[in-house]
Amino acid sequence: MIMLIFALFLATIITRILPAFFVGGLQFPQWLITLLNYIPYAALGVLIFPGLLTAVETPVQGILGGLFAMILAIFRVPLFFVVFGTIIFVYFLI
Amino acid sequence: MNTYRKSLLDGLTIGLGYLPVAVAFGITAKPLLTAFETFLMSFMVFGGASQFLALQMLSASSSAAAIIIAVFVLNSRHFVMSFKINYDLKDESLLKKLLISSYVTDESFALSANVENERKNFINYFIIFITAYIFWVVFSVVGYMAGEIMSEEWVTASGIALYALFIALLVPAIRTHHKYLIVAVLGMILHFIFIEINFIPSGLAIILAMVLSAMFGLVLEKRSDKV
Repeated sequence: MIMLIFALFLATIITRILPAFFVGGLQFPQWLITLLNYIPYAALGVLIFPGLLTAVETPVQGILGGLFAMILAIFRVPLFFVVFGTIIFVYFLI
Repeated sequence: MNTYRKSLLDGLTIGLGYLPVAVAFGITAKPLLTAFETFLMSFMVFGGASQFLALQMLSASSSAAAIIIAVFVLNSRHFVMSFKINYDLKDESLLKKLLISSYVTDESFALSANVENERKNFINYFIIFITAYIFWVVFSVVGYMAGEIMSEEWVTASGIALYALFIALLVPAIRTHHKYLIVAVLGMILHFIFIEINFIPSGLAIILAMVLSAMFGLVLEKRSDKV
């Protein structure tokens, strides 16, 4: 198990540090910078769905939980309370 | 000093968001790993989605090689994210860039989109990332210990934690501009389609969906420039 964790460490660290070697003084074209700016939002969308459907016991529970989190976030509830509140909400759903 | 405090608050914001997710990870790890292994995984891998995926595959008794490949592919999105962070830090030394890069996560990256230019340097990123990291490691272990006293229902409910965190990070961005919503929803649809057609390995589906929807954002930007 320790060996597996160490291999996972390598598998995750390589992709993280590789760009550091490239970026040194070279200049990026504007379109690439714009593209990089969009990546976090694209990534969040991709990570949320369809994984949300299998997050709890049934897809409906996952979606209701997601909607609940969204409503809390829309009302500017702090991150901690969004996550914690959603867990409690889902607990009462199941 | 004021900027450092702001960075510390940003770090705490992510850290507190991690807290329930880390606890959920510790709880889920309980039947599969020892306390030390749970600590070590959070300490060395430091990735919510990757660690949950590893647990999922361990409980499905996948081979070590399959787990490593899946995690590698899932994590390759960090390559793109780290690129952007390194661009913010382009004037720093290689060693500092390497250190910051090792702590890039989805959440810290999403937050970096809101970091002002004057804070885009080593020390501020270090404060943000390391604070979040400490929360992740400490509360994974706390979750592991809490798992002993928690009921099955709480363990199941904590599966929503990671997704609640992602949603909570996405909503403020959407508030600033609707184009981010379009890109995020497109990412969801593409990812769903790529998984449904069952042709592309799931890790690769994530990357493809991510890059394609971000490219659509570029198209949106170009069109609004012309008007």
